[in-house]
Amino acid sequence: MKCIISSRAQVAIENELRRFPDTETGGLLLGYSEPGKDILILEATDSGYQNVIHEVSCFQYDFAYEQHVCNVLSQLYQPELQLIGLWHKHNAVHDVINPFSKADENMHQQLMENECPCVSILFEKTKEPNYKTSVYLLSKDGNHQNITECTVWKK
Amino acid sequence: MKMTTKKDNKNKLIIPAGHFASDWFKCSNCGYEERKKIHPDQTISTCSKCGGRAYRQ
Repeated sequence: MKCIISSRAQVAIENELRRFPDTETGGLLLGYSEPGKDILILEATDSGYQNVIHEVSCFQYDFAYEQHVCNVLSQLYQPELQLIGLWHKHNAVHDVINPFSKADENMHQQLMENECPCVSILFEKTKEPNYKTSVYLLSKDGNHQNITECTVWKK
Repeated sequence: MKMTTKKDNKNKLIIPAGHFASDWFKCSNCGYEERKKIHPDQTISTCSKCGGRAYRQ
């Protein structure tokens, strides 16, 4: 099983990371995902511009914005895109098996209410402008599978 | 291609609500960094090494 990320989604993420080099940020991932098949990420959202929190150790996207833009993007495709993941940034690298916080896991649990395999992409800031990128296939028991090695970033 | 997507009764995608927050705290006194899975709204904790104030990183 592979995770394939479109160049469009990649550029969207890179742009958002550049916008917020010193604080946390993130967004949602849209694409197609079915059990036993490759996961295809076609779109990535930014964090929005109102009612958004960007701090060194905390981030909250603009919920109404995400609601709107995800539905608009989803309906540009046939069949419509699914909400299949989220991505966000940490401002430091910590060498631990599960780098996600309690708050991060709360978001994961909500995401996994969607009846499809979901992913979480984490960017840990090393030395600007570089990041350590990790891709996880989410599991409801919290033992997420690191699928970074089988993720393809389309150029 | 059959896909499953959770939508609300207005046929909209259901977006996770909440925020992301780091679990790592760094002591302003001794610089010790430790991980504490406490309430995300709590931005200050007590350093387990020196008892100083540790801030969420």
